[in-house]
Order: sequence, then structure tokens, then C-alpha cells
Amino acid sequence: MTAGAGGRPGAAGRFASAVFGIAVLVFVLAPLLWLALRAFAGSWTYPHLLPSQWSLRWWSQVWDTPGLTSSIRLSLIITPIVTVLAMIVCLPAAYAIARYRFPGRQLVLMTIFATNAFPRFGLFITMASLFYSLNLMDRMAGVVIVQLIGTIVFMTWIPAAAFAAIPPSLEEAARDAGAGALRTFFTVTLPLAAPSILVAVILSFLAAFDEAQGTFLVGSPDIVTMPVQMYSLIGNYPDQVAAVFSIMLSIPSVLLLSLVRRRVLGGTIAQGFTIR
Amino acid sequence: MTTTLQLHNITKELGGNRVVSDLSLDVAAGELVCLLGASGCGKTTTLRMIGGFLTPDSGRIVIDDEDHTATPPEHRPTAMVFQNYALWPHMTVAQNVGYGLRLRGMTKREVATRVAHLLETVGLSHRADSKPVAISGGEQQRTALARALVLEPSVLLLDEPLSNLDAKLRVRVREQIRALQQRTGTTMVFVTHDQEEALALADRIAVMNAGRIEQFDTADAVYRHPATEFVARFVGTMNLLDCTLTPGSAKLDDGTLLPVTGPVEPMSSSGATGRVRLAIRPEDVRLDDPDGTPATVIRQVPLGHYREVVLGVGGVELRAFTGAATATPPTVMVSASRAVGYPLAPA
Repeated sequence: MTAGAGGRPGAAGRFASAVFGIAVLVFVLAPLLWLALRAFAGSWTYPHLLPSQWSLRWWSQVWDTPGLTSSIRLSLIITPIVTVLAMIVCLPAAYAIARYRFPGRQLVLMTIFATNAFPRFGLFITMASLFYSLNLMDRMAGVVIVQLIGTIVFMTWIPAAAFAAIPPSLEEAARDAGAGALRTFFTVTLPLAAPSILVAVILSFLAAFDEAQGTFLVGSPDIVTMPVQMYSLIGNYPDQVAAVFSIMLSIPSVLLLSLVRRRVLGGTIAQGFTIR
Repeated sequence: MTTTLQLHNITKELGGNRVVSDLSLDVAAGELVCLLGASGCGKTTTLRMIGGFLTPDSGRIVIDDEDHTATPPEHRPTAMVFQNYALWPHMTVAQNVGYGLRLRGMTKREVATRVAHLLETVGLSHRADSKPVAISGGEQQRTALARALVLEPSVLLLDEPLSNLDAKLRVRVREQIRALQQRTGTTMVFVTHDQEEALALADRIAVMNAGRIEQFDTADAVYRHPATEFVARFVGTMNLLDCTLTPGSAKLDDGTLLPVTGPVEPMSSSGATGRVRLAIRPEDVRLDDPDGTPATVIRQVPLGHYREVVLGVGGVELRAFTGAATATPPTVMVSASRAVGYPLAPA
């Protein structure tokens, strides 16, 4: 080993980790940078390293295309609906999984996990035939259900772990002080699990926002969300339009993460989990 | 004397084990009762049934002459101090204490006044706006106590509340709890495995073993007159000698006669004469009785205000406490000033 004794990295170790850090940075940031340049490029030809002309015309083209703006609107309507529904459906389930040893508990956990562990397209095909008979194809409700599937694993597993980490005596103390079961949940359990639930909400929101396969299958031709729109953009428009659009597609992620960065990485999570 | 809490023939099974078995208990108003026993004896289960966190399989729980056997915890006139305190980490000390009052629909001002008063009582006024993580273990303990007391419960339940404190603090908080109890007249049921704690605190002690109460009496009675051999072993230090009782002495198995100068208290009809298991407190062993039987000192341990001496008498070891300031000579003449006899199972 080139690392020094006692686990302190030597010069070689420091060099290796620096190289690794830079590699990760390039790997993550370079495509985004290229995308950004591309979106504002008027003319960018070989062998120029940077675009020789800058332009906003791709952005105006995106704004002027009616299909594109409606997809943005649809995404911004559907995603919050899916996220809120996921909370309503999954949080009680997460609590039950964390607190009660009911028969089939393990099976429920595995099933939820399995929906994410296998390629989802097979599931979507099966769902499509079911949705035809239920008249859910090309309907908002169908798209919401399809997107809900991708959020379940986040909204169940993460909060379940958070609920399980809360000592039952904290809830008993609330009952002892005169709070009913529901009030105990909302005044003690939920606030203590909030940091983890926040993480789950963000991941669910992004999973729903980015969902394209199922939405495409169930929603087309009329329900076209932003990621579905990307497919046709790539085929039918110049590259630059797709670049503009994918930047717009990543705005929610950036916004959400910067909004909650301090809450998630700061004290709240740590505080929630140090007290036993 | 009015009875605040009555348990009638409580039985509870958990995971196929009978944890509490046909247990009955009466606690008078303003009394502090300790449930004393080793871990697994059912004392905490009993307390949790009183608090409403468990429902007995059979039997009745009566508080203030009302049947509360099936009442959920939020509607019981009880309040609990949990072993790990169970303070809510997202609330300040004052919010923790005020939580129950806010639920009762008191105005903000009323809550603030009451909380301030109680925090003063437990000496935590300066910590009102701290979060539980930021205060010491002793302060957390007092916060939990204040949170329970503010509800003005008919019965205050304490589940090993001192076990997470260090030894010195434990004694101090113990005295504070006792003083608080006498000042407020709160009826308390206090669960502990520490017999010294029980002896120091309790008006009456219920010594528990295997889901039953072996003895329920004052600290003095439990110590001086242990009703069963289990109590004799569990509470305090006790010498247990198998011997044959004759008037005035105990004949040990090798024939040695240990004089018993005082009364022998029989704990069953067969405990008075013949083969018994004799229980002698170390402080009841006299080391300077001219009529005693000779014994050799095996070892002695000075423990500050007293001295523990282990003696060899007739092939068995006998433990004695003596207040003498000087070392005990290598051979002494011993006798017992009083003893309790228990029936000996036939060999």
C-alpha cells in the first residue's frame, strides 16, 4: 500500500483521490456544461472549442412551439398531484410497516422493492392492457397512476426507516399526556420523521417528473409531459432545441435541491436521529 | 385512608409467557409504592398496564373508584416518567412540559404560567428554551418529571427513572423525588430493580418475582421480616444456613451449635423447629459473644463507616457487619441475635 501507516493517506493516496475527484466532476459536470453551451450556441462548428456565435433563438423557438409549453404545463400539474397522492397512499403504509408486525409484512416490502428492481416496461405493458379495459388510456388519471408506481419505493422505504427509528416511548409519552393516536402522529411522529420524508418527497417528485416510459405508453397521444416531449424533440427538431428543453427539465431538480439543501444536509436530519 | 389505585387479579401474557400472574395491589392516596424485582419479574409490565399501554388479559384496574381497565392512555388519570425519559427532541423543555396542557384547551397564558411554575419547582427555569439534546441527563430526567407532574395525575408512574443517572446524581434526584412527593402529596408507583432505592424511597414495597408479589409491606417490614425466602435473598444482604433448630441455637450440618440469642421468626408452621433454612442479617451476627461458638475470620473488608467480616463457622461462611473501628481478631466468638426461619424443601 502506498498509503501511510495509521490510515493517513500518503502523497500517492492524496494524488489518487484528487484524480478521482476531478474525474467525477468532469463526468457529472461536463455533459451539463456542453448542454448549456449548446443551448445558447448560434453557430458552433469544428474546430472551435467554444461557439463562434451566441443566440437565444432556440429558447424562443421552444417558447413559440405550442406543444412544448403545454407539456411543461402538464408536467407541472401532474407531478405535484402524483407527489401528494404518493404521500397519502404511502406514508400510512410506511408507518404500519415500521410499527406493526403484521402477516405478509415482508412480502409487502419485497413487492414494493421488486417494482423498482426489474425493468418496468413489462409492468407497463401489462398495465396498458388493463388500462384499456378500465378506459384509463390517454387519460390524466392513467398517467397519474403510472407515475405513482415509480414513487412508491421512495415514499415507503425511506419514511418507514425514519418511523422505525423513532422510539415508541416518544409516542407513548404523547398518548400519556392526553393526545389521541392521530394527534400523536401529527405532533410527534411526523415532525420527527420530517427530514426523511422531505428526502422522500424530493425523490418522488423527481421520479414522477422524469417518468417517460409509462407516461408515453399510457398518455399518448394527448397527455404529453415534458420528458415524453423530449422523445419527439430529439427526432424532429435541431439538437439545440433538445438542449434548451433538457435544461428546463432539470430546473425543478436544481430548485428543489437548493431549497432543501440546508434542511437535508444540515442539522435537522442529524437531530432527528441522534436522540433515542 | 382512601385508596387511589387498585389492581384486582391482573394477569398478562406476552409472547406466550405469563409475565404477570393474578396480581392484586392497593395503593393509598399520597402513597409512594415501589415495585421491586429483578428484570423480567413483570414489574414494568404491571406499570405499563396501569398506564394503559398494555391491557390485562384478565383482572381489573381501578383508579379513583373508576374502572379504567380498558381506558386508553390519553384518557387515564395517570402520567408516566419513562426510563429513557422519552422527551420530544423537536420541542423545547417548556414545550415538552406544556404539551399536555395545550391539549386540554388551556390558553397560552395559562399554559405558560403553569409551565413556568413547574419548571421552577424542579429547578429548570433557566433551561425552559433549551432543546432536550442540549441539557444534561439529570436535567432531562427532571424535565420528564415536570412533564408528568404538570398533568396533575391521580397516580404518577415512574419506570426506573434513575437508572440512567450516575451514582451520586441518582441519590440526589431520589431525595428530590421523595421531597416533591411529600410536598405535592402525589400518589406514585415507582418501578426499580435497585433494592436500596426502594428501601430509601418507598412507603411500601411490593417485592415481585415471576409475575407475582412475594411481599407487600413497609420498607422496614420487608427488610426485617422477609415473608419468603425469595424476599430474604433479594432485599439486602442475608446469610442463609440450612440447619436444625433447637431452643436457643441452630445445629449446623457438621454438628456445630450456633447460639441464637433472640427470637426466631417462623415464616411457616414448619419453620419454627426442626430442619429450616435460617436467614440471619449480617448486622445481627454478634462477634463478641462469650457464649458464642468459635469462628475464624476468612477475610474482612473495611467499608468506611462499617466493616464486612466473612467468617468460617462449622464449614459454612457467615457474613457479618460490625461498626468496630479496629480490625477483627483472627478468631471470634459468634452468635446470632435474631433470625427468620423458612421451610426447607425435603432433600
